[in-house]
Order: sequence, then structure tokens, then C-alpha cells
Amino acid sequence: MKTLKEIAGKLEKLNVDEYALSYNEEEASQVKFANSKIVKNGYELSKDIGLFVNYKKRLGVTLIKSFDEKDIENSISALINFVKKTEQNKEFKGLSEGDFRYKELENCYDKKFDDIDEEDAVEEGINIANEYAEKAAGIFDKYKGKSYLITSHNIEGEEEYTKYYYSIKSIKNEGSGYDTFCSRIFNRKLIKESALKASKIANDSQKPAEIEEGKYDVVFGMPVTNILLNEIANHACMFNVESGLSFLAGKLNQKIGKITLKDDARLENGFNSCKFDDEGTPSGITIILDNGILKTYLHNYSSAKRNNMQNTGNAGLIIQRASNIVLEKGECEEGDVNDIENGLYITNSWYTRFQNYRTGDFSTIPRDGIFLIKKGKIEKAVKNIRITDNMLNLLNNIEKIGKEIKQMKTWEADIPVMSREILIRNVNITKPKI
Amino acid sequence: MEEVAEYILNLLKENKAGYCEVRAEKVKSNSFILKNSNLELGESSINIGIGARYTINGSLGFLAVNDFDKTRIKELVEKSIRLTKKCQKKSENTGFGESDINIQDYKVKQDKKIEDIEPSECLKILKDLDNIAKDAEGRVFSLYTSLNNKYFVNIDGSKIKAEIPRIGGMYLFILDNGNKSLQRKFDFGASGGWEILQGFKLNEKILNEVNALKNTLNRGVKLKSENMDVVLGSEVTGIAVHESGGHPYEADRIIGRESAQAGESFLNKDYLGKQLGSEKVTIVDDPTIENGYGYFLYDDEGVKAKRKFLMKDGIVNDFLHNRETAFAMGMKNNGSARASDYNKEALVRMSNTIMLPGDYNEEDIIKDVKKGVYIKNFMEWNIDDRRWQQKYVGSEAYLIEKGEIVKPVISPVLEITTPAFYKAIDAIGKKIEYSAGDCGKGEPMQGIPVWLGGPMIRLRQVHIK
Repeated sequence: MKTLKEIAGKLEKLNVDEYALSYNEEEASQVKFANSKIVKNGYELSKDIGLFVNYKKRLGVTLIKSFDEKDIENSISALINFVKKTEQNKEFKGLSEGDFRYKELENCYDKKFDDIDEEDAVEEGINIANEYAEKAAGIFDKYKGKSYLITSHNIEGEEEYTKYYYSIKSIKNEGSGYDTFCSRIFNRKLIKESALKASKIANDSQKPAEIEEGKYDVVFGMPVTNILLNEIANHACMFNVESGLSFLAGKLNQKIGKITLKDDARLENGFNSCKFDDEGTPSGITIILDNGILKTYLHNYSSAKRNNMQNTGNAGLIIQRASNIVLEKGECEEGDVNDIENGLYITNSWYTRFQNYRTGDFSTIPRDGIFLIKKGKIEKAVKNIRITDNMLNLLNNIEKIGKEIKQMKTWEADIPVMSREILIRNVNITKPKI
Repeated sequence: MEEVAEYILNLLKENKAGYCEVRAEKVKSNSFILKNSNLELGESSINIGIGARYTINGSLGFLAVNDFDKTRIKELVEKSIRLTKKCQKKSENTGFGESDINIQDYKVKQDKKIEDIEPSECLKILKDLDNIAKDAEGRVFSLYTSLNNKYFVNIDGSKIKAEIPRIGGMYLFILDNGNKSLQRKFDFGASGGWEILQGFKLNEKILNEVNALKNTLNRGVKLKSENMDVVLGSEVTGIAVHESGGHPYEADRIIGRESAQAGESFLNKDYLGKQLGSEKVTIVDDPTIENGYGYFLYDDEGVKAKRKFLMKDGIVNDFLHNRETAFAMGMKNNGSARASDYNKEALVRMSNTIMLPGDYNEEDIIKDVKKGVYIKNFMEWNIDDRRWQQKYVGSEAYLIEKGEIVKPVISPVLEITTPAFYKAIDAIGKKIEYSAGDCGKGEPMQGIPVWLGGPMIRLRQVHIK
């Protein structure tokens, strides 16, 4: 904090109109496994200072990774010289102002962090996969860090955090299954649960068959729900809406399906929970979809002011970002999502790409176990399909959501989601003819 | 930085590392984002740090730091080694095999140094491009320059110094006629000085693409689902070659090391020597192509880079290897180890992956099509995690009848398996073009600069939707 204050003093002498300064220090370890063996461990210490300046409405950022007094001095003067040679951001309305008091987060720092044995945790997952499937691959990450923020509006904040992330893919013959979790407090039970779930899917999907393309009722497994909700959260960010590149643009106060979706930056044990956003606005809960009605986009101070809307505390100083996404049933039925006559259960997916960000036309490819469901029961494993549909269609066709909830982020969709299984009617499934 | 790198190498040697290497990097970069004519932000940063990789009794450890205080570094190395030793009992027996010792210092030549380019010059380029696309309702443009200085040293005695400047960027715009909208996104990039920017011909390209999308919005038709000939423009060939002619050949996927992240491959050693595509098809990965976005002369294990023939005359010929996978598979390493940042481990990666040109004029490729579609460029694409089935959806595309382009087509879809794709190719153009990509792999995700390239190609009688 002392270094940040010294930098702040320098910035004020340089007549910078506004600034936000953050310091982050982190210790991270990782154990990666494949073929039921540990293939790499990683250990990293990092620290950096992020600096945002508004100099006569010319905006600039820099990352300082060298902490010599001289290097810091050089970085500041280089940024100011750089910014002077750019242009004004005519749409920028300033940084968050206010006499903020930050409330402590609940269950977001694990005092037992140093006692958590990465290798031991990984070994437990591998042993389960070896017993119930054939082999396993995945990762276990641990993070511990602290961060400080000060801005030109007399905002000062600090927080400490611990984080965990685990993923496992179990493999048996041609079948595979995946599960994952993330948290702030370590819960050993989740390793076992994930390994068992991934192994069961692997077992059940050993001999996948081809099916015809067409419309199916589809149960989205939790990782697939995570992907869908990540896209909704990203498209709710005001930068994308203002760019004209969001399928949620122009839909404010309109009804899109039935679910309730929140961004909860203060979520207990929430992977991305924080006391304040990147400009110091205190964190809170934002309802994005309320029983299907789009209530707001995600804002920072500037985008909210520019659009006469409420700041939701989602800075990113230019591009807003969601914190922890929470799915609630809204007007949907909550219960057994597999209770369908004829449909598919898709346990995982990846490679989600848009043909048109504005209309929401996209496709994503299921990976790991996919199953045909007949009369509420799994009939067989299937393969080589693709979800080719439209995001608004999917949202409108969500009918039921499962009761079980798990916090996760996935390889390509890294906004943590309190995810559930969901049933979506009439999903368009395509596949190659040859 | 170099002295600290040597210090870490010595610490690892003292701790009886079987193999060890240290990579120090300093990346100076500037970047700009323009949204609907408004400059959102400029960034100017220096990213600096050191990463090291080592084995102790076959257990592989990686550490990274950007604090160069030697006492702190010593503590970090000791902590890392404790974890590596702890992982030993469950560890793969990782080996790095034999390798040449290389001592080199190389720089990419710059006629006009990117570090001398004023922000105002970058902004002028972005503003001009934005102005050309002003009929598009939503527009995002970005431009960045980076100068990457690397110092690599390993236990074998290799020492590599490299300086690689890069320029890259992206444009994305959407055109709307009230009833429907169409989008276009393109990534450009190369290594070299400021002068390489001219080679992208962005003004001309964007103008043509805006007009083409307007034409498609006004006159475009949807295709019926049927079999027909398909002509793919260079950009589509490039992405297809990257996705299904490059990724499946990465040996770390083949041995399952990336299984839970970027996936595996349908290929294995049994495929070597087998015909997978038409005999006209040859695919190479070549880091040494001058100005390539994925250019390097020595990889991130200090191994000399070279052109690798992945598919030769339609036959599976070779895989992409680093020292670890070559050792694991008992094959010859071909210098394909890359890391995106100092704090990431080097994985098996592509560089500039291209289909080699053939002997057809582009006009002749189209002239010999009775009924077909020409997909010049694309928006949406994806492929499964074993690289078996893929999809490309056209952005600018045209119906071909009796050898003539007759009208624009809206979003034609090619959804096809990998063998079917490469077997259907019967004509390959003479002219090669490149686009840039930020290829993702690893966990944490490593986005790495690559070129995707190829000529116009023709596929006979494949299914189009």
C-alpha cells in the first residue's frame, strides 16, 4: 500500500485527472495429471501493479512487473507520455466516486490453505478413476494472494484470498467423463465426488453409437450449463451491448425464457467473490434475468452513467466482467431433468463459436459422455454430434432445472457458475453426413 | 535478467536436477481498442519474468517468478523442489532425451522499428480502417505491437537469445439491413518491423468485405441441404489445415497429456505411413517462414526449428514433438516446443501451418464446377476434441453454376469428418495466403501466435447445408 501511495503522489504531481492503482501478489501451485500419472507440477510467485490513468480523457493502462524504484518511475512516465499521444475517449464518464465502506466476505479465505496437500488430493482422484474407469487426466490448482486498490477518489481497499480449482476426465475404452469444481475453501469431499461422477460417465459411454440429426429435448450437464451461462454473462457486459455485438442488445425489460440469473460478487465461497470491483465500487448482487425478464446489463461507473443506468459494480475499467453467476429456477420447474420421453443428456461441451453475436446463432461441440434418453432412462451412449442453435432459443426453451448445485468453471468458460443440470426443449442437433 | 536465469539454472543443478532449463522473457507491448470510432483505451506495458523447468528422478517441475531478489528465488526453488519430490511417487517418468547443443543469438530484422512507432500512427491506421467500415453498425478494431526478448539456457549447454517483434490485430463488424444481419471477423498478424503492416492490405480488404456483405444481405440466398462441389478460399483452407491438419499431429495430444484440456487426437503411431487424404495434399508446419506470425528459429527448449511435413501427398508423415513427447514415443524431436509467456511451460505447438500450393489457377478451379459453392471466408467454426469432425460456416460465399459465380449465398455450412475433408480435395491453387491466429492450449490457457495458411482448394461432392 505504501508503494501505491507513493505512485499516487507522483501521478497527482503529473496532473493526471483520475487514476486507479492496484497491487496484486499471488502464490500459485498446480499439479497436472494424465494417464493416471502426474505429468507436471508448477509453482509460481507473481506480483504486479496495474495502473489506469485518465489524462484529459485520454485513457491508458500499464502493468508494472519490475519493482525497482527507477523501473516504477520509468513505467509511470512512459505511460503518461504514451497517453498524451493518444486520443480522447469521448464516451468515458469517469471512475467510481463515493465514500465506500467494504464489508468482509464470508467463507472466502481458507486458513488451512498451507496444509492442503496438492499431490495427495490428486492421488485420491486418480485412485478412484483407476478403480471405476481405466485412467484419468486433469488438474488441481491452488492460489493464495492479496490485493490492494487505491484510486484518485480517495478509495482504498484491500483483500486476501484463497482459491482452488480441480478438474478430472476419466477414460474407459472409447468412453470418457468429466467433472470439475472451484471454491475458496477446500472441501476434500468434492474431489471424490468429481472423480466418481467422471468415472461413472466414462463407464457408461464406452461404446458410443451414431444417431440422426434433428430436434431433441436435451439435458445440459452442469459443465454445459456453465458454458451457456458464461455466454449470457459475457453478452450482458455493456461493452458488448454498445458494440452491437450482443444477442441481449435491445432486449432490456423483455422476457427471454423463465430462469432467474444473478451475478453475485459477494457469493459465500464464491471463486471470484471480491469486496470491490476494479474501480472500488462495493460488490453486490445484480439480477440479470428475473423470471426471464432482462433487468439490466453489467456496468462499470462510466457505462452506467453514459446510459443513465445503475452501476452494477462490474468494472473492468473498459470491458465489464461478471463475478460469480448464480442460476435460480425462476418460473421453471425444479426437479428431475431426465424425466423426458426421448432426448439427449450432454455431459460436457467445448468450442463454442458464434456465426452472429447479435442474433445469437452459434454452435458448440459436446465432448465426453453423450447419452440417448428414452422414457427417462439412459438407453445408450452416442457420439459425433453438435449443438447448432441460437442462444435466445435456448433461453426461451429452458423448461426444468435440476436441484443439485455445484460451483464450477471450465476450460473455455472461466466465469464461475453455481451450475445445475437443465432441460431444454427442441434443441437443434447436427452432425456430419460423411 | 540473464544473470538471474543462470543463477536459477545453477540452483537446479545443485539440487541434482536430471534435466533443467531456464527461460527469461521481456515483452514490451502497446495496444489499442477502437469501438465504433471511439478510442476506448491504450495500453503500454512491459511483462518480465523467468520460468524454469526441470526433472528430479523423472518428476517434472516448473516454476516462475518476476521478483529477482535472489533470497526469494532460492526459497521459491526450494519450495518447488519439495513439491516435485513429493509428486515423484505418482509421477510419469518424464525424460527429455538427447539434443544438440545450440548457442545462438538472432533477431528478426526490422526496417522500421516498432518501438519507434508513435501511438498517433497506430491510431491513424485504426481510424482509417474504421472509416472504411463506417456503414457497419457495430465495429471493433484492435492493433498491437510487441517486442519479445528471450534468453534460454539449459543444462546441456544451449544458450539462445532471440528478439522477435510482432504486429497483430483484429477487426469485427456487423452489417444490418433491418431484416437480417451479417458479421465478419478477421485476425491479422506477422513478425517483423512496422513495414509488414502494409502487406496486410487492410484498407482494400475491409472495403471489399463490407461491399460483399452488403451484396449478400441484399441478394443472398440460403442453400438447400445437398451434395455439391465446394471451393474454399485461402482463409478457410488455413483454418481447416490448422484445426484438422495441425492439431491432431501434436504428439502431446496423441499420448494423452492434454486430454482434460485441449483434448486428444484420433491419430496415433499406427497412422504413420497411411493415406488419409488426397495425394494432392501436403501440409507442413514451418516456424522458419520469414515474417510468419509463428516465426522462431529455435524453440522454447533451445532446439533448432525446421519445416515439418505432417501430411505428405495425403499420407500421414510426422507428428509435432517437443523433447518430452519425442522421448515418450521413441521418435525424433522436431523442435515444436513453445510457451506463450515466461510463466507457462513449453508445450507442443504449431507455428505457421500451411497446405502447400498446387498447380491450379483460381479461375480454373471455379471453371470446372457444374454446381457448387465458393466459401471465400468464414465466421463460425469448431471441431471436436479428437479432431474428427469439424464445421466451417461461410461469411462471404457464392453459388457457382456452370463454372460461373452467380449469386451470393448466406452462411453455407460445411460439416464434415477429417478424412472425408482431405480425401475430397481434387484441386489446389497456386497462390497462398495467410491469416493469423491466437491458438489456445494448456491450462492455464496459453494463446500463442500462429499463421494459418493455404491456397484456394476444391472439394468434390461433399455435403453442404
